[in-house]
Amino acid sequence: MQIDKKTLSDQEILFRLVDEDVESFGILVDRYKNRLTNFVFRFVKDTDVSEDIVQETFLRVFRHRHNYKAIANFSTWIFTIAGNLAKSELRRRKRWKFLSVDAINDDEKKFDLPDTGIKPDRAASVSILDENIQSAIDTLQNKYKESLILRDIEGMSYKQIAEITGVPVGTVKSRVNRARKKLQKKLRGHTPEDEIF
Amino acid sequence: MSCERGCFIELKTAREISCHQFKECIRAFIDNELPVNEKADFLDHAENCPECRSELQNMQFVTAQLKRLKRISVSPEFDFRMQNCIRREHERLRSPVYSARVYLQQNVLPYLAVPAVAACLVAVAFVYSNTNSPVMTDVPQSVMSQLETQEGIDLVPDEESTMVEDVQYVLETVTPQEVQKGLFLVEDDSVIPVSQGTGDFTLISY
Repeated sequence: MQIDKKTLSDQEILFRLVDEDVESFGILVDRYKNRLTNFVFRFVKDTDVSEDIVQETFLRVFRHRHNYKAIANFSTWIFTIAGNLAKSELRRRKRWKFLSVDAINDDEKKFDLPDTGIKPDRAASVSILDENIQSAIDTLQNKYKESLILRDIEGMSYKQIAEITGVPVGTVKSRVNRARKKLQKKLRGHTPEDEIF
Repeated sequence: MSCERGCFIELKTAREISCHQFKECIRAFIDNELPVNEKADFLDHAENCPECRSELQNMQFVTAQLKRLKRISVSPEFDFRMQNCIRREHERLRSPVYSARVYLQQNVLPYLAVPAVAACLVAVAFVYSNTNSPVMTDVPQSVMSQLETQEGIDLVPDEESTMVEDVQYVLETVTPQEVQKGLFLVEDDSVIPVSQGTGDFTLISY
């Protein structure tokens, strides 16, 4: 009986990979490529570089598939690799004091266009707000940025974030709290759209 | 009682918390970690305190906007590039050259590493000892005989010094290579290495 590989868990796919079922790896790529790209982009702010880092992440997972320990959560493992590569890229840029052409080229957009159906003025407002939020995230230190992105953008649990970052859960909570407060200060002037409470 | 963050909330009344305590628990409330009974007290305070309510709304706005951020996706070419990348890597890992390298690294190198390091240390010690220690050797009898029979050579400018001492002094100052070659020369009143000679000399070799 043929198994639908798409229903297999991450671990099961990885075990198949160890048994040289290379085609299964495509399923893992499909599952994580966009999440990882979105995560890495928040650090490097460049879609091409983000894709390169994500590609390298998958390559390392493939290369070291035999070293994967069954007790570890696969998503934790792959996000750890991607996070480390993203931070390495930032360190490399710092050493070379790299100036992005995108920063001075106003015509090119690094963000996708908003969904259609939204009124133009609202679309512009949303786009500007997105850029403001991204700019505010950029001002955070890496340790706060990473925890905030994983929690509030990727929706991971504190336990998962603690495993990825290698710090206790309490420290993660503290970092997320501080990051939110810093963002709140940076974004003062944007009134809440709804009475959420 | 306490919220998830670990702060202890001292109740002024059965259902009243301070503004400081409220702000300490905002994160837990947003992350849905406040127990039900504490949540009621929390919301009660927000209803009655405009400043705290504003603080909560601002924080909720920030987290809501983060969740709504436009998500970045891969380009259409990513899948094709990824497939090629994995295929190349798979071929590389299965190549005989890679397999041989892994075999050497896992099965041969560990056994060679220690002897190799030991050999290096011995070589370094040998070179170090040969370059720094003076060449101390007994004066060969053949050299002594030659020196004694040389005419017109006074190896002992100082009457109290002995020929043996002079030649030993020379042997101490020459290089190991010069000693091995047996090349000395007698110039003026002293036996000196060939490299330092300048004028008339008589070559002594042994």
